[in-house]
Amino acid sequence: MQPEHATWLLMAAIFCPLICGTLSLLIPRPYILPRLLLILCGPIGALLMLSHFTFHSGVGGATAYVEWMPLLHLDIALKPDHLGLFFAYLVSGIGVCIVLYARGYFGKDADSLFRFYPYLMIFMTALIGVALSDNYMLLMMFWEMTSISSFLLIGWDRDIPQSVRNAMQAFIVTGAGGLCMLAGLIFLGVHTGEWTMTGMYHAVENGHVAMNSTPIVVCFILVFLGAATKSAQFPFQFWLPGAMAAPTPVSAYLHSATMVKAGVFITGRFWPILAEHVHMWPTVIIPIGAFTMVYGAYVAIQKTDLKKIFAYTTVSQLGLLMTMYGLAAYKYDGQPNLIWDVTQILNHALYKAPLFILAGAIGHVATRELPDLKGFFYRDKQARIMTIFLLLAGYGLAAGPFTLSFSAKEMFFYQIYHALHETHNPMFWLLVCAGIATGMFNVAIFIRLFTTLMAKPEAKPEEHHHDDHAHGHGHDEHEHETGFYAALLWLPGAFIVSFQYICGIIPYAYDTLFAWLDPSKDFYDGFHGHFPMTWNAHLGLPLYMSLIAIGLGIALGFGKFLRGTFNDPCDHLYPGFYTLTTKYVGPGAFGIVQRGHAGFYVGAVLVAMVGLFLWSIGGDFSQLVWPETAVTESFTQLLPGLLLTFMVCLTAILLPIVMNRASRVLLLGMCGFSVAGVYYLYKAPDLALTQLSIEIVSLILFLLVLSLVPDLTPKTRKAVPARLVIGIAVGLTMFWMTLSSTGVDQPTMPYLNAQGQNLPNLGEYFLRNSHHGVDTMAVPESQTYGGIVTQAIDPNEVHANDLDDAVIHADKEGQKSVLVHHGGGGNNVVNVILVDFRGFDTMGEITVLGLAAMGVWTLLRRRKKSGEYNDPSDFEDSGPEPLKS
Amino acid sequence: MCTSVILKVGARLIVPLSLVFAVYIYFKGHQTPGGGFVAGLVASVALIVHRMSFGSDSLRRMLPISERYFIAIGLTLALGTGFIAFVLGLPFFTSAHGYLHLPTTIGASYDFEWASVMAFDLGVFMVVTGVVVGMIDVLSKEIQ
Amino acid sequence: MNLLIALMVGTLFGASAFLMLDRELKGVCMGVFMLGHGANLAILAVSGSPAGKLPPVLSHGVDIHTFVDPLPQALILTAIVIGFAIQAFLLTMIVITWRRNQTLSLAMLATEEDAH
Repeated sequence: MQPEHATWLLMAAIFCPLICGTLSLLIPRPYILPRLLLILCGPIGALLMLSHFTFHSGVGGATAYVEWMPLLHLDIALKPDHLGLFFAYLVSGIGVCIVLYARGYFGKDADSLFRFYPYLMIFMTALIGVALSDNYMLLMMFWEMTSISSFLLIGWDRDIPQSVRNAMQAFIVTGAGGLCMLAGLIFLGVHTGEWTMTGMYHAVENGHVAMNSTPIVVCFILVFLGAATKSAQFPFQFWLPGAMAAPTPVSAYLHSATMVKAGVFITGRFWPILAEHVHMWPTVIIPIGAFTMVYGAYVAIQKTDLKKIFAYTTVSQLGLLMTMYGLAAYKYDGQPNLIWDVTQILNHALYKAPLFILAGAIGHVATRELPDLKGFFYRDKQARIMTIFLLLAGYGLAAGPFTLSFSAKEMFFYQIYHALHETHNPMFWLLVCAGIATGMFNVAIFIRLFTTLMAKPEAKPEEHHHDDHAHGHGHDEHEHETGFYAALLWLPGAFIVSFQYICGIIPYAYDTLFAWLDPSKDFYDGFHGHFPMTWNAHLGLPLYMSLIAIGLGIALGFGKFLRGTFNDPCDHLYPGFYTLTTKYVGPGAFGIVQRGHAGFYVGAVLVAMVGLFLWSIGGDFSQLVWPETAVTESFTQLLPGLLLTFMVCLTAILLPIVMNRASRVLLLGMCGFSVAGVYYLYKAPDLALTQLSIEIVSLILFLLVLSLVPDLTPKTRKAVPARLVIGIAVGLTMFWMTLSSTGVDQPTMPYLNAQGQNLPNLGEYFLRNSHHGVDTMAVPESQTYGGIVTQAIDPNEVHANDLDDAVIHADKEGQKSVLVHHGGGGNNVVNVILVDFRGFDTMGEITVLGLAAMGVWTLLRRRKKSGEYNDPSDFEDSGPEPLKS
Repeated sequence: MCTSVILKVGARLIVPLSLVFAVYIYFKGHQTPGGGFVAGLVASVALIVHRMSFGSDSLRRMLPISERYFIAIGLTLALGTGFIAFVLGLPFFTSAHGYLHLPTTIGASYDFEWASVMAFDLGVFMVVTGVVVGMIDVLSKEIQ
Repeated sequence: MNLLIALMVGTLFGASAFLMLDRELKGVCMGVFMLGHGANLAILAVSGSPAGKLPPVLSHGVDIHTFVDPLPQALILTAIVIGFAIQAFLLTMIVITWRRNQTLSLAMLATEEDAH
């Protein structure tokens, strides 16, 4: 595959869902089928694009690369290696099922579908992006996109304060983690000079980077914080069950199958770099992961809401995955002790997504509260189907024999066994117990699901709850679908869960279907020979562990223990934090500085400015030497300047004194026009032109506003000495700073002129390169900025000032070759700087302009509609409820 | 709206001239003083004068689309120039320039030096015009 | 010329500081605009005395060092336009504040804020 093609295919795969999602907004709301078809194009298109790639096993596969801002290391570098491609496949594959499920879930609710699909597509693009990006910054961008789309989807019921609170909680927790990760990645990039994963792999392989130094460890911890918050590791796990406020398609997709795995994925991306080199790796990850694993399962068994149960088992499974990457730090048989990481992730998606899908389906037709579902199986035909598939998926959760899950859990136990075998560290027996305990809880959960759903129905009056959206977001009004669309409620789940059994029962089915996704497959095959199907599992510690877990689980499932409702104490962390900061610490701390009086703020800033100036000279006024450059011109040369200075100073001084508002506006205008004159004197025709036109416009603006605001009775203004003192002090400070700054030498720039000397200032670089360049910078050719490099020429043959004759010769001289490149192609350097050299800056600027205009329109339009502004309830915050004791 | 005859007659003269001048300084902006910002401001001053003399409805009739769309179009245009370079496999906002040989009536051809950033500058021009005219327009409506 | 521009900057900043400490919103607004002028001139001052130099518009056969530094000018051009946008926004806020609270006095606005 040609690299350019690869780049575009990958870009297309990433953005295909987003484009389809955006286009779907153009379809009028009532057309559900066209919308569904268009949306399906998103993930299916992504799958098709991705299918062009063969898998490079191992790390450091070919990358696709487009320069974006090379000087800032912001490039589009994509990496279609095994892990990334697997993840992208997972996202788009499960995505197809979820799109269909959402159609069944929302039924004929055209409005919800209209709103829901674009959000889902944003998420899909973001996560495929996370999976495929190679550049840190690109990764972070997509990473934050997943947080945002998750926020939007959790807060789906935007009218319900609790769901908005949950959304904020999830966003703040994952967002804070994201910031840590951003810091870690930037630090890593700055420290190592490598801004892509591939670059890092190579640097580490070649020993260019001193691993295990403090900076790397700090980076690792920061990155892991990001991964741990996203993947809901203890003690951040509370946001994930909270996120179950989202509609079930979202829970099934984001909060179990895909997004929460992003943290695991990042850990998986980094383990080849960090696991073997950072000694802290296992000691940090394994305890946290293992604790999360056991704790999640322990809480899960005590919940009654189906979605809550599955949410906590997800937390548990995420802990398992983290532990798995932690164990990768050890060696077994000369290989990293990591067996089938991809299989583990896949396996979880293959039973957890169906569990959520069917939990949502059951909630849709009945309720999600487990005790109320007694005998659900016997209700009707649909209930029977749903129960069967829910239990099939639940059997996967329990990692029962003849499922893929069983093999996966065996693999995990093998890892523990290997670590135990290699290190002889007795602490790993704790991990063995943790593994057994987790398995036990999962089996018990399955047993309880089974016994409740299949219990003989009591003679109970038939009642239909529609409790899934107990928060009443209005699904109840929508008639339920029949036929195919109703079947979509459970069909996707059934489809996904079937793989659990196909791979668990039929020999080699897994090998043909999925094993090619897994790079570490050969490792296991190397010494155990084959995929551990249930019927040819090896006798040994791992198998015993599974058997013990199943035995204990059955006992616990039927037993009377742990049947109460247990609330995770971590649930209070975020509300507590919120209350603490907004109710106690915040007001206390801010009360000192935030007085609410504008004069105080302005005064503080101004006094601080003067104070900093005094501090910088150390209070020693003898340092202030009159610069020689203060006046270099003759009196006649100065005459126009003197006149303008007089005008500017006069208007500036008169403005505070004059009280008549018309006069004040005129004075302001005079001041502006005089400043335009100063620009002209300073040989800045562009500025003078701009200032003149702006001044006209702003005079009109001012007059308009003054006519909207009535003239208040002119107050007799008491002369406030403090104001005068501050004003004079600020004026003197600025006067002196301006005067002294004009004569100072500026630091030289990293750009070279034709003679190989550093340019004295950046302005000269712009002057030289504005039309076309004859200079270069002391940076590699690939990073040349401000133009396309055409050829290198001999510095001696070029005269720096020959602006037109320098495009010919081509001869490279070492690193400091002079590069001739197209400059901006303009003679007006100021304009070239604005639209070319600093085009990004100007882009930002016109965006600000547009935003300001929109602000003005919105502010003024709002009044017309609502008729009043002063409604404080609009602005009340929707933070979490204060701590309830 | 009641405005003086002098203003109206003046506006008839000034507005087209200023608009032409705005276009001129936009095109010459890359080589001589001027550019999108100034051109946008001059154009908006002209439009505001027009609005002040002939009223808001007249302005509406004069502009093919609402000035608010100017902002959207301008921003898209500016961002688009960046993306074109990107699609060609160059870093974002890479520029290109060259000469355009324009035949003139006096025989010798006139070389107009174009640059790809002129599209960007056109975006700036449109945003500035849209913002200024839009703001003044909405505030003027408040008075009525 | 450096002295003159420093004088202008000093006066503009002093006057704007005085105005920004005003007790009324319109005065504060005017102070902000003056501050904009002052800051722009301060940036311009860095390019040094313009005497004997040419505007930064290239022409054949002219030594590069005879042009004034174009960078401050580009920065100021941006600042002027942004300043205008802020000005318009601030003025709109004044209109809104007046409609909402029927006062532009900062002291009264602050007390109303406390009352909420």
